[in-house]
Amino acid sequence: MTVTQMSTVERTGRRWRGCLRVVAGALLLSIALLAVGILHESVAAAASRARVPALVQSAAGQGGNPTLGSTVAVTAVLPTICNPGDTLIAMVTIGQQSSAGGLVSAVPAGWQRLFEHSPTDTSPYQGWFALSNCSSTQSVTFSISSPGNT
Amino acid sequence: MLNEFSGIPNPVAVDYNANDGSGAAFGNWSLAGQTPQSSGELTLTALSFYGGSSSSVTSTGWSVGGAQSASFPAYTCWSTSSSSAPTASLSWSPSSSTEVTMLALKAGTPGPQLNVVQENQGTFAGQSVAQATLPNGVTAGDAVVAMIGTDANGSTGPGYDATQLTGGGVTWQRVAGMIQASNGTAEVWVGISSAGSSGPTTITADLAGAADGHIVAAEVADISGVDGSTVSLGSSSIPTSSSPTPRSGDFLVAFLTTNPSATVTYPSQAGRRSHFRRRPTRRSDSPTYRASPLPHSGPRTRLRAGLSHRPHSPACPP
Repeated sequence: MTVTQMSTVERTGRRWRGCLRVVAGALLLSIALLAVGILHESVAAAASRARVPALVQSAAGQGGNPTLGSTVAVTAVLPTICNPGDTLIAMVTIGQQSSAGGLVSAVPAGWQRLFEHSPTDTSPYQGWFALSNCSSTQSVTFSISSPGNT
Repeated sequence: MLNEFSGIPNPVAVDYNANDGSGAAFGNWSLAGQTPQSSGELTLTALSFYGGSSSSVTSTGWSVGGAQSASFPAYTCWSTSSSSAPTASLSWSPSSSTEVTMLALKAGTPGPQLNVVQENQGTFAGQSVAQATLPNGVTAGDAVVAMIGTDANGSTGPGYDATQLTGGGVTWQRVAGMIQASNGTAEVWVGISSAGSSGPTTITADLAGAADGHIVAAEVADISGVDGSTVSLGSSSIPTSSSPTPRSGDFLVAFLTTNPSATVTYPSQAGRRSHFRRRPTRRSDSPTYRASPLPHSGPRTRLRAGLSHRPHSPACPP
């Protein structure tokens, strides 16, 4: 009986210690899950933050050639090389001469024309262009035909 | 104006675009965008005007992306979209003719993007040949689109003044054409799947007779055919072309020819005034043209065509 009692006591103690282990394990697991959760949330938050558009740097350039039918290259150079994964957005505007409207005749390889509007009066032309994943790019040159001012 | 942005989807596409402006002198302008497909989109707006060295621009709620305050000032502003349509209210000095545009950017679809690779224009007066020269060779497989406006006379109705087009390594086909008696012609042609060309490439249109006018030629990637077109005639200060109900992803071409007596001459020195727009579609939109000086109604011929996006086979796994 005693043995049985001791055995019972011993078993009770093991059960208690086992229960503690379970509680401790659960607690540790909870902490671990919480840590993973925090880590996961941090990654998600960082990813979310990364998806928010932000301006990194900007540049401008200009050129001109008043000769009707002429072509001029206009270049803009950023202060530093574009970061991998970033996007370059270029806005080109052209002064319209009374007898010659301008347009961007050629864009560098990889550049995408987003939107252009060439008014039918003397108000300026505007065009938007994009280069995704602009890694290692620092400048861009657009070829413009029949320009006035740019 | 060149801006580097982080946090932009790759590939990127236009969610919507808007533009407005005037050849008359203004010192302020307000341009409204559209409700974006989702919040957080990069929204861009630009202002261009003519002025002296002293100029300024303000736009509440927008951040300045870049500024060029020389004799031909230009500004870009940006913001991230909310769930409602944005408005850019800009003011500047001195008052001048102006142009304002706005566009919002969303995630594009993977794969080749519809794109105007290169383009150019040409004018002609009293000639039976119209020419525009692309600055570079045409890539094999690309399409070439041409838009031609002339002052040629004829009976009002569908029709063309160009009898044939050559150049660009394509077989040219008619897309849409319209004649308005005593007010000229407007037509769109396309050639699919170029065999390719090298160096400057001249597109030549043979006309039915001597005429004044304007030709625009563009090399466009990823067009496979003609989806549909509409033509219309009229006399108004803000002509709008009706939609040919294109399929989503179509490349749209719109073209307007007006009688120059109603407007300033652009870009032809003596012929009809022409104008075009094109973009991949998000919606069945209808391009609107605004005449100058405003308000001024005049005879106008409008064309609009939807060109099919070339389908691409999904990539096979290795």
